[in-house]
This record gives sequence, C-alpha cells and structure tokens, in this order.
Amino acid sequence: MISEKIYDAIIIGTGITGGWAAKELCENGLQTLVLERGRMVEHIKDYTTANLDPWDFEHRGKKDPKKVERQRKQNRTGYTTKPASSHWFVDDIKHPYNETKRFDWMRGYHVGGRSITWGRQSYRLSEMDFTANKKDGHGVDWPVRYQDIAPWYDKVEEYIGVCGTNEGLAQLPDGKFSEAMRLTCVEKNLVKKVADNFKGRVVTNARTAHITGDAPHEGRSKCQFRDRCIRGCPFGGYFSSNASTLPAAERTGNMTLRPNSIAYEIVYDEKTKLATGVKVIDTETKEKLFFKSSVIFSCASSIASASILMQSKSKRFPNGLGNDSGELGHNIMDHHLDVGARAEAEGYDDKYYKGRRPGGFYIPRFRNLNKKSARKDYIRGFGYQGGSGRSNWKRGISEMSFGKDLKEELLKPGSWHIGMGGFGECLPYHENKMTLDYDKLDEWGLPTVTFDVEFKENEKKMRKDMQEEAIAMLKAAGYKNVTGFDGAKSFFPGLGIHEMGTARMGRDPKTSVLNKHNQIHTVPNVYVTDGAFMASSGCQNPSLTYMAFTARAANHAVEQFKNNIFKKV
Amino acid sequence: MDRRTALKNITLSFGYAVATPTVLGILQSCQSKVTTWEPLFFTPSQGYIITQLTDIILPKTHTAGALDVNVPEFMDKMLNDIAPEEEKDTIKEGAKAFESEFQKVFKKNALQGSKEEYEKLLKKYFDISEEEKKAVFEMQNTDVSITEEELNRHLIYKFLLATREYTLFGYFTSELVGETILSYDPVPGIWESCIPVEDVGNAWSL
Repeated sequence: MISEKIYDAIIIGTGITGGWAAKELCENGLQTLVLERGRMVEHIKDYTTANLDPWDFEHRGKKDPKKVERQRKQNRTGYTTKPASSHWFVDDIKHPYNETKRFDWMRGYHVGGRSITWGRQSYRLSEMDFTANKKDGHGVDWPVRYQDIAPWYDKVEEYIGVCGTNEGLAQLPDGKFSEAMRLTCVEKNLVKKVADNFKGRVVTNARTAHITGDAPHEGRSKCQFRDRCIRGCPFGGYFSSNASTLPAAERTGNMTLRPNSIAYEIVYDEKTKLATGVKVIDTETKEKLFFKSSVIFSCASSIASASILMQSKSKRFPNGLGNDSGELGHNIMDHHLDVGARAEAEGYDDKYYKGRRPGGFYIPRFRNLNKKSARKDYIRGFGYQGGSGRSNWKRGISEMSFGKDLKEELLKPGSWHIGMGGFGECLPYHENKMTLDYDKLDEWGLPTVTFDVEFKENEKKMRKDMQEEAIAMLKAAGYKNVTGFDGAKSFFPGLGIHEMGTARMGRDPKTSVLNKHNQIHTVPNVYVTDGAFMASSGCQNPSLTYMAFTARAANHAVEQFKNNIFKKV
Repeated sequence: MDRRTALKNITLSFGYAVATPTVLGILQSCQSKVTTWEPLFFTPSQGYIITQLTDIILPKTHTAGALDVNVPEFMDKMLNDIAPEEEKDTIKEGAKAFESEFQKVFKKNALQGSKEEYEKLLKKYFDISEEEKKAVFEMQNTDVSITEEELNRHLIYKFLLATREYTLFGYFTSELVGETILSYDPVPGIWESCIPVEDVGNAWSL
C-alpha cells in the first residue's frame, strides 16, 4: 500500500537520536512521520517495574532461567535480563542474528529504544578526538572539528540536563552542567591522593543526564536518587526520548508516531538522485507500506541503520544506498571495558550516605595527550568510571557464622568499598564488519545481520595499562586489599553497548558514507545520525555526541528543506 | 573422577525422592503470621530440617527471625522455580546426605530432631578452624577432583551453605525486614554523600 500523504520528513527510530530528530524537525514546522519497529511505550504508564521493591518480585528480582532461554544473547550483560528490566530487551529467538565472531548485540524494540536503559554518562569528545584519525592515520579524518559541534553540545546539555563539574581539560571539554552529584568521603580522598601522586590526572564527578538544580525541563522533575533508572523513571529524572524529546515533538502537532512499523528499505529515485520514501512492514496487520517524504533521518541504531541502507539496493546503488565507498557496514567499533580495580577503604566506618546516587566519579583520559603522556605500546586512550559505597548483607554469604550475632551484624552497614573500571577507545578497523545473510531470514522475510568484529592488539595492550593504573591509583590512595580485574576472556565487542561506525562520515565519498552534515554523500536528503556516523570512537560514552550531531543535522535539514534544496518528490 | 561426574553418577544411582505433599503443620507450632506451606522442592522431612536450620542461622531475638518472614518456604520456592538444574541436584543430594547423617548421629528420624540437636550437628560443620573453612570454600567454588569418600561431606556442605545463603537472601529481602528493620527509603529525593552513620541507623534496605 502506498500512502497518499507526502510527509516533510520521516525518521526511522525513536531512541536517543530519533527523539532528537523528531523534536528538532517538528519544532521547525516539518510534518514528520516517526517510525518505530517495536511496541508503544507511554512515559510513566508503561514503566511497569519502576516502583517495585525486591519483595514485590515473585523471585525477589532473580532471573527465571526459563525466561532467560529466550534472551540468551541479551543475557550476556548479566544484568539487563533481570525481571526489573528484561522487558526492555529483545527476545533473541524472535530476533536472531549471526556471529562469525562473537558480538553481543544488546537492544530493545520499543518506543524510546535504549534511551530508557542507557547509562546516562555524558561526555564531550574533544579536539584531540576529532583530529586523532588524521594524526595517526587510522580510519579517515573527521570532516568536523570541535568548534563545529561545541554549540550543539551546549544546546543538548542544557535541554537534557547534565550534572557535573567543569575541569577545564583539553581532553574532556567543559559543558553546561547543573550541580554535580557529590562525591563520598572515600571518593574525596581519592581526588586528593590522585592529584598529589599523579601529575595531570583528575578525579571528577560523573557527568550524567540527570536533573539537579532548578532549571526547568518541561514535563520532568528532579532526580529522586532512587537508582532504578533502567526500569524507566516515572519522575523523568534522567533524560529519555519518552520523557523529553518525543513529548516535545508531540506538542507541536507536527508528529505522527507510528510504532509496530519495521522500516526495511529507503527508496532511491534515479531521476532526482534523491530518496523518495521508506518501505515499512506493519507488524500488526502484516501489510507492506510505502511512506513518502522529502527528508529521511535514519536513527535506527548503528547496526539497524546500516542494515536498512544495505537492503536499499537499486541500479545506481547495487551494494546498498550510498555505498560507493564499500565502507557501509564496516569499521564497527565499541568501547572495551570490564577492566580495572577495586579495594576496601578503612577509617570511614562512622560515615554513611542517604539516597542512591545513579553515578559516581570519572577519571578523564590521561594517556597519549601530549609528548609527556605518550605511550610506546599503544595509541589513543581510556577513561575510568567508578564509585564507592558500603557493603550490605551480601558480605555475609561466604562465611559459616550463624545465630543472633550474625543477624545483628548484618543489619548494620558493612565496610566501604571503592572500584573503577576503564572505558577504552577502539580503533576503526575496516575488516570489523557486519554483513546481511539472505539465507537466514527473520519472521518478516528480512535478512539477518552477521557480525565479524574483534578487538585487536592496540586494545589488548591498552587493557594491561588500564588495569595497572587503576591498581596504582587505589594503592596510592591508601586503600586496602586492592585487587585488579580484567574480564577480557568474557568481554567481546558489543558488550559496551556503544556499537558505532558502520556508515562513517568523512571528507571523501570514496572512503566514507556520510558527509560532515550526516548526509549520505550522494543522496543528500538521507541523514544518518545514530552511532553509524562515528569516524572514531574516542573513549567517552557516545550518546551525548550522537544527540549533538543529530540536532545539528536536523537543523541543517530544516534549512535545506525550507530552501527547497530537496525538491518535492 | 571429577566432582561433576561424581555428582552426576550419584544423582543417577539415587534417583529422585518423590515428595509427599503433606502440610507441615508441625512447623507452625509456635510461630505467628507464618504461612502454612507444603514443600514443592524438598520432602516433608527436609522441609522440617530447613525450618530448624534457618531458625538457628537467623533466630528471633528482639527483632524478627528467619521463620517470621517465611524463609523455609522462600528457599523451597526459589529452588523449585528458578534454581539451575545442577544446583537442584546437588542440594537435593546434600539434603539427603544431611538427613542420613542426622539419623546416624542421633539414632532417630530427622523429623523427631530437636533444635538443640540440629544446632549441635550444624556446629560440627560450621564451627571449624579458619583453615578448614578455607578448604571447604575452595572445594565448593572450584572444579577440583573429589574422591567418593569426600563426596558425602562435600554434598552436606553444599546443602548447608545453600541453606545459609537462602536464609540471608530470604530474610534481608523480605518486606518485613526491608521496610521495618533495615532503613527503608524508596524515594530519597536527596543525595547526601557523607553523613554520620548514626543519622541512618541500620543499613539501607534498597
């Protein structure tokens, strides 16, 4: 069926970038169709587990192995498949994918996507990230520099609400932050000891997309410090599409939100050399539909956007829309993590806290910033996220004591613990790729994704340093029982849930898919603004950057649209 | 023979005991607000055993004990509903081994055992030197080989340590303890990062 209505814009996806594209396009007056392959999720109403205490769950929050059977890949995180949040992650039997090499593709199909379950850590890329590829020759040069994106970071941070502390660092630019969530006494000691013992290293507050302070955010209220974010926040205390950008788009009256709609092909017109619309399967009626528009935003996620472009074959683009370079689906990156150290802190037994802080501290990158911090064994760098707290009754498990003394003891707060884990940059390797398998079709007859991605020597060498330096800092801070950890054996690409790079931007159409405005070089009315555009990964959590580029691209598209650059199809 | 193989063989040769669904009225004799339950996973006599043990591990004092928050029923339900098969097998075999041990030591059926007798037997396993404890945990947590003679003792520890762990888990995540004994604050609305511990009292439940 072909819809008669011609929309000004179609957005594929409702996650953290789809929501931003919807807000910006609708607020600028474009009649916008927003497609979501999964079910509808209404803010607050559909956060079914948000207010449940452990005793409210049938098995006190423990996973049921029979249910996990349907989410065996999603379960690789270990935590997302608990009853508190398993409904935000896909059924792996219904939504299969293939692994030439193991790849942990963690995702949810519903309105809001992973903006509901994201980690909310929000860090800007810096000038040294945008020039890294040019400097060391890996990947292609970003066609964008920090000053191009800085105003958009400002806009996004102010709108979503990010709390944090400005530190004036070249490798981690300052931002528009509300009051930081304070550090614990144990963490304050770390701040001091790291500053005293490691020149140039900084321990700062995590920068998270939570509302603190008094700036107004329509329809949302301040973070209540419940730390149940992954379940969806009924207070709108942290940023999600559902709490923020989609309601903003809705308020304009210009948005048509269409859940249960799988976009699988963007149609190209040889005459106009533009895309004309999007082919969709309605998962409820099983109908195949075609929606037309002047502008298309693909915000389906790095992997899904690449998959849609690869399926969009035409005479002009036999290898997928905009894929003249052969880079579509290649250069997949993710951050490598699960490496660091933890320790016990003595001397703070008279101190405790109130509230459950959804974040902790951050140690910005300190390697390969300049000649002095240059490493011989690897390039690029890593940052750490960490936190501290007092142990609970679980500390009593690996013991044999019993009786009333045990009970009285475990009712009290346990000893203080502190830990940190690294987030390491992954280089863009052409051979780290995804392909489509047309022999293994999903229930809709669409090809499934096959991953062939691995971490390589640079990442492995970096991990060694990540562990050693975490140990060194905790030791220098005077903590006891400092133990390093490295889950390298069970950590595979994807598990950082920062997959990116499948349709990288660049200066040259021969080596990249997108231009500096996130437009497909050769099909300028198609913008890809999810993680697919990333030309390098940095070591910073990427969602803030995706949002800033999406806002920038959307405003570019509005300008083009209003100037009739994309003639009506 | 490695432990897994040993356990597998044991499981196969013993087969499974069929639990007779009997109301464990005896357990409720002196408890208040405790539900009547029929074990789903354990046999009635094993249900009696875990009732005695959980009560010894976290007894009622001026605060509620394990039996006040239905820990035995909780343990039985968790094992029945969601424990991995391997864990189910070893705990079942461990419970059987402990039951036989009780019979051997006190020359009577486990259902006739008194609290004092159960405490005496529990002490035999848990009141040991730090070195012995370390060896036990090592055996529990790693895939070391095990002889047939050691297997019985190993299984008893599996059962006792599981009972202890489920007792802690069931007790500290119960509504009564979580809301009225531990410090409970479902919507703090504030983050205070460093305050005197006396201002809070007991540990936070959430």
